[in-house]
Amino acid sequence: MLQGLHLELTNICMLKCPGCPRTQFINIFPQHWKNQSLDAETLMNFLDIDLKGKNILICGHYGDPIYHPDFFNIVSQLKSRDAILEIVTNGSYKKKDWWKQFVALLSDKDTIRFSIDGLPKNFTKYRINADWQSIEIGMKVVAQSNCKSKWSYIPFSFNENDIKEAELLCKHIGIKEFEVNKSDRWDEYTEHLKPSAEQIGLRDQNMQAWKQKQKEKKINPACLSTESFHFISADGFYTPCCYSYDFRFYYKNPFGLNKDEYNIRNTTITKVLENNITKDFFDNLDQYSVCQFNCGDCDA
Amino acid sequence: MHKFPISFRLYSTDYSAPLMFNLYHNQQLIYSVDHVCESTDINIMLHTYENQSQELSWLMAGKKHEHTKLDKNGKILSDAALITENFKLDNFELGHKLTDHCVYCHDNNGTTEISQNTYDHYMGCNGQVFFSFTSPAYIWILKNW
Repeated sequence: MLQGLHLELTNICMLKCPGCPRTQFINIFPQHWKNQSLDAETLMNFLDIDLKGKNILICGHYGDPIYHPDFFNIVSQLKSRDAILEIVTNGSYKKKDWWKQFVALLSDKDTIRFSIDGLPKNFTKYRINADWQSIEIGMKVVAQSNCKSKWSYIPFSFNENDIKEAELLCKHIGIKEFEVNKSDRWDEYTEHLKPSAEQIGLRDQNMQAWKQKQKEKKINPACLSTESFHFISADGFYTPCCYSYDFRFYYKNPFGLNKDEYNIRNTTITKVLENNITKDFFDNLDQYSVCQFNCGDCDA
Repeated sequence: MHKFPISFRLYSTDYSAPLMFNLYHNQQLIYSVDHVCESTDINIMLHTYENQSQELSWLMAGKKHEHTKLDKNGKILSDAALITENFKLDNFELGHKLTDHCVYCHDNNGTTEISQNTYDHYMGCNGQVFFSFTSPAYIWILKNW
């Protein structure tokens, strides 16, 4: 059942991307936002399984992992248990020495993925507050290390004609892989940035249709595939995926409604996966709005 | 203890009609006006305990038959009513989430038995609107997103 894990080390971020649930939550409920970061010891106790060879995505739903106050400690503890890491970051505001210390913890099986949507001249139209100067320093250090590296690029209306140029820049810096990541996260906050139809993700059509009808439909759940990533949030709660932790769905699904049972301070990943509520959720995925919205089948 | 504001604008379609308005939180009177004679922005801080049921209700009284003007065919030409708009719970504008969770109890100004009706921000009959939620309010909003 457990193929991999997705850790949200922190919900802290320096950026204000309009499509990010962090930005959106803060816009709606500024009085209820709390910066939170996972405690290393609590996390390691929760993960009572053999992590050798397990894929761990260190990304997050609300934050950028590199801003975790004890980042190196958690990365080194996961590496000491032979996990394979993929760290997703925008990469802003860290110094060269920090990046050197970071890559020294990683092996050639690990990946650092930079999320940069556009060229240095325009990528901050979406990645608001990002800082190219420090990103470039980080990319160069990563490029010279032995870990894998990627540049992940979301096409928007302002950058969809810059993809080739960005790919060249990626090669010039030495980042090993360039991927275009067509987004389906389009809503009233990002509509003005929508690119042409061929640059929009496949799930967008389903999501827009679901917003109109909000009714049951055929789903193709990602969590049952080999790319399954069980999610642990920055405030220390388990959900089956990062989507089910989104504030628009969390409080309506069994994990938000039974929060205490999924508090990583009081349980372990083994107990969570044996929990009847968890099993019932996986047996009835098509009943949940979060699954219908995020994993709706294009052909349904 | 959680505290959060509720706010809305209260106005009347006929300020000459002495329509009374009372607002209650868990059956405790928290706002009262004998005659809604001008548009009023109401903003009140509520104090609640976590995971408790909460009830807001608002009552209109004072409407009489003469406050409804009819033509010779019985068609309403003008009517006195109270209207709430921009209803916010914890600074979040509820929109249809409010009306979806309200029950408006009235007797059609004495012409029928008391019945439960939907509320669409318009109080045209003497009666009371009941709105139930749980605290913390923003979690209730998210549960009903």
